[in-house]
Amino acid sequence: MSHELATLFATGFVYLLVLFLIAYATDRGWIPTQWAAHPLTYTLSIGVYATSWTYYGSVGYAAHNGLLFLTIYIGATLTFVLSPVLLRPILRLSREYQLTSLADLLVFRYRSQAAGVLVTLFMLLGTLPYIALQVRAVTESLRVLSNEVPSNTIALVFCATLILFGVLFGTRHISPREKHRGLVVAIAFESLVKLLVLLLIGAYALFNVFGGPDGLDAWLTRHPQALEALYRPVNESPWAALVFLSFAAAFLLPRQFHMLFAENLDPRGLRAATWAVPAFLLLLNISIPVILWAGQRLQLGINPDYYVLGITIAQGPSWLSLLAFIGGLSAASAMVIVTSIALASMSLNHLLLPASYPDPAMNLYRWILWGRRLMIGLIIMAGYGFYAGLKHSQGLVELGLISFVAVAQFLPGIAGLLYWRRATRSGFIVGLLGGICVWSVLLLAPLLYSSGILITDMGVPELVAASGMDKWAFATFATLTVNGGLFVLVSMLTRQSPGELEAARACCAEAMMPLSGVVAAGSTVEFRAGLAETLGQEMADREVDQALNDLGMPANERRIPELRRLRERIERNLSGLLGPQLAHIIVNRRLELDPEAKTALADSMRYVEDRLETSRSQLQGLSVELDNLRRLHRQILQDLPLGVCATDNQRNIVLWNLALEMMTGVEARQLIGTRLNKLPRPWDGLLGGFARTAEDHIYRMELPVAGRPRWYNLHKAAYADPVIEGAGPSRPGMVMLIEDLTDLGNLEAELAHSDRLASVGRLAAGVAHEIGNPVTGIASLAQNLRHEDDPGVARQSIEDIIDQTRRISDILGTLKSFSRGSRHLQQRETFALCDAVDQAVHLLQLTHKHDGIRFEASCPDDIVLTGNRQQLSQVLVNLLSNAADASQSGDRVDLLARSGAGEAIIEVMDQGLGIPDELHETIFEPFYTTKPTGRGTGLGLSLAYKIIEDHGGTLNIDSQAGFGTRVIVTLPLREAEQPYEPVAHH
Amino acid sequence: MLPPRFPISKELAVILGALLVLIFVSPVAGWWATTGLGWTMPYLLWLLVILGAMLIHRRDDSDEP
Repeated sequence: MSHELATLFATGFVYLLVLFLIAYATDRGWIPTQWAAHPLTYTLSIGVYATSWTYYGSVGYAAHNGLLFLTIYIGATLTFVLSPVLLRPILRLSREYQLTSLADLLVFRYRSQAAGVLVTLFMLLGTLPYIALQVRAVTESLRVLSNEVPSNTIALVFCATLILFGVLFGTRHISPREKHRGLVVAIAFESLVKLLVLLLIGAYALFNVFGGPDGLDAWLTRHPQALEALYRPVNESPWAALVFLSFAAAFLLPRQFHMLFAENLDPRGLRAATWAVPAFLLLLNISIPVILWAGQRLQLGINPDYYVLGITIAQGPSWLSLLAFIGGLSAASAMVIVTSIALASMSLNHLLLPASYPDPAMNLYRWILWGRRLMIGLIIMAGYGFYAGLKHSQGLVELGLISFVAVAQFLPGIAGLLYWRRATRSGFIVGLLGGICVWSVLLLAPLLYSSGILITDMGVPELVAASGMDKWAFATFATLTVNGGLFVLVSMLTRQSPGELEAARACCAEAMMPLSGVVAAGSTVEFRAGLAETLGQEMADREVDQALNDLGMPANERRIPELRRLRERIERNLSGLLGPQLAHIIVNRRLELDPEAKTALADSMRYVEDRLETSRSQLQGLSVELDNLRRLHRQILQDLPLGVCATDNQRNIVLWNLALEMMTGVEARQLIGTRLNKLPRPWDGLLGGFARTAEDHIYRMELPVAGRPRWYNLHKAAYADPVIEGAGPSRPGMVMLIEDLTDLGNLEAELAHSDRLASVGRLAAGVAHEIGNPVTGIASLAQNLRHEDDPGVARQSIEDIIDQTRRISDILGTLKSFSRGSRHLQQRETFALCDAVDQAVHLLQLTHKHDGIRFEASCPDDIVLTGNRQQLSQVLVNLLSNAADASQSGDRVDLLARSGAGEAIIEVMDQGLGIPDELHETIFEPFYTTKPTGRGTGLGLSLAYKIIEDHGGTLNIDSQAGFGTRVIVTLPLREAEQPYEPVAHH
Repeated sequence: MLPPRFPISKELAVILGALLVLIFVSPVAGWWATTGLGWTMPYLLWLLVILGAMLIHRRDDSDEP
């Protein structure tokens, strides 16, 4: 049974249409995003590894080499098992640095455009036979199914359809950050199709050709040579070379790299892929021996490569053979599409752009987009050309393995990239060139010779025969020995450039690589202007905006460390568009870095901490302990109930803790990297000014915040950067502690106020008596006034009443002034000391408790103080009251004030019993009192001590039991800048 | 707690395991081919490797990548 060519063509066309629809539906969001990003979808998309070589060629390879066909998949299994040490680091690098192809990765590591050109050219050379293989598989399958020789037009139409698909769904976005979900889902669908069809055909072969497992066993028993043919090559040929080749191909082939890394939607998908991809490959291959034996049993008489089709034609229903055709079509089309997209990006970045960089006046995005589309077309057509030029004598596996050996030449470079920091670009290029030469002689030349393109095979078959090795083993051994040997030798003999060294550290993940140097451009405006010279204004603006958005920075960013991060992010983003080397050159040229402008370790603190946060799970052993310690210290600083602000040597803020955030209302993330003098008001003045002063401590600094005064204690100290070997001398930064006293001050004021009110309470009886006398007098005068006709006497009575009223007002005013609440101890004014003394003595005289005591005050009028008058009056009242309490009736309490050496000295002396020595320390403690309960709070002396201390003065007791007590208070005289207007006293 | 005296990282364990597979794949295949254990044996061995990989990576709770 065979099919019409037109039927097959129509079937293939419908299938490809379905593929278009799936991709379109995904891109339009009709297929849920979680399906597209599902690990299973990712796994199936990596199944692009299985091409028509697997689908058709495995049976052919098994026919000639027995179970050796499995090596192609066991090697791939090894790749995925090694995922943590092989794929995951590459995925990390490709995501971090926006590297979209193997050439990008190698160019990034070896910092060489020449390496990019070489890798791309060799990849094209090595992959074109593989594309040709897919085209041939499709046309051959048509021939097998239709018994007609298809014209080249069909191959051309197939290629044109794939170009259209690649252009439509593989170049929708030019930035690697935007993945082609439609492409991923379509490729995953293709993998599913080929898997299901192959399983279906295997099941058909087992149950319909052999009648079930028992039938197969019976057939194998009758035909032991079939099993023998499967076993024999296992013992005769080495597995290692083929396993090794497929191991390399599973992640280095352009299509593999593209689906594994460039189109990876979710990094977690790689974890599932480590076992799911091998499982997919196992399922894909489980039916191969059965299909082979079914073909042998049916004696199909066709190339075993096409037994998959042959058995469906020989016995199966027509729909099955059409399905088999679709399976092969899906395997071939997926490979061609993904390979062409991957190679297009590689060719554009490493061949086209460096050779002819467009005028900045052009829209570069559009140029890149159309460049990639053009390259997709060219690459697929080049594959077609290779197909048309080659004779069909080579098996599918033959062509595939030539490509495998080609991509294996990148293994030394990858090993150097991941594990050997010492590897140099010269070593890589020379090694690769050596490998390419040997590969060309051993594999390419015989291929071209067999196709009639070369006239000599260069004696390769004899050479291989003389080696006694299998052809592939010999080619693998020879190419990699030359390549690897030269790579190591030249690397040992040459030196790395600083750029290579930096890239090597990034690739080996040995250090956090803090960013160094200072960008010459000091603002985002300058960034835009600089980049516009090469990228054009539109692209420069978009790239700067994109990078700012990525980093969550404001558009007017000016912080030096942040601008350095911005520069790095722009380079990474451009790397995804133009390739790492071109991006590096553009950014280096347009956003120059001053490498001499060394920065402190503190500058890199945020960068290092960000890296530690994201890669914590990668730390092991002692690193974990050190990281825990770092976190503990950081948490302590963060939670410290004092504001902590640390700066580097340039006065850029590197630490701004939680307490300071709450104190100032400004978040750390807005400030890190900002200069101190760029802080919002009023903090710029407070901290910037404090950083400049020579004082290491400032106490009770008043600062108006939101229109209300607040008070702070400030402390600062210099700290030294840890000295790193080779990093030059340490550059000290500064750490400042800010203590907010406002709340404490308010509490103290409230306490003092309470104490004053208590005093007022104690004075109340005397005050009542003092007010009562003039009131009685006023009443008598008023009564007499009713009967007084003499105007002169009446006027005198009125004057007396007014005098008495004034007396009452004075008493009440004094009381009111004394008892008034004060919002803070630091509400300062300039006043004459004698006013406070008079007020205190007057208050005490209001009470009749101390009637037997004589208060003698001597205070010169010219002693002027700066401070809180109310508070100082309270001190004097407390001291005089204590002196009076300690005195006997008839004793005298003296208050002597004098000035000298910039301070006022006030002495309060009594003739009482004195204070025993053992109580000299205790009497200043709060709530300590020797008075009977209810007569004292125990706060008076401690508050007096605190108030005097707050005013910068001292309070000392000179007392001996039995000889009275002398309290000596010193207070600084008026500050020079404080104005003082003498007021009239009544 | 003190770290083990000769700590073997997960990476090293995986590399060593892979190396062992590479070294022993030929002898194991040869052993299987000569003793005639059945044509499904390589698939069973392969399945064991996959299950082993699945077990190892299920325990791997590290952040990606």
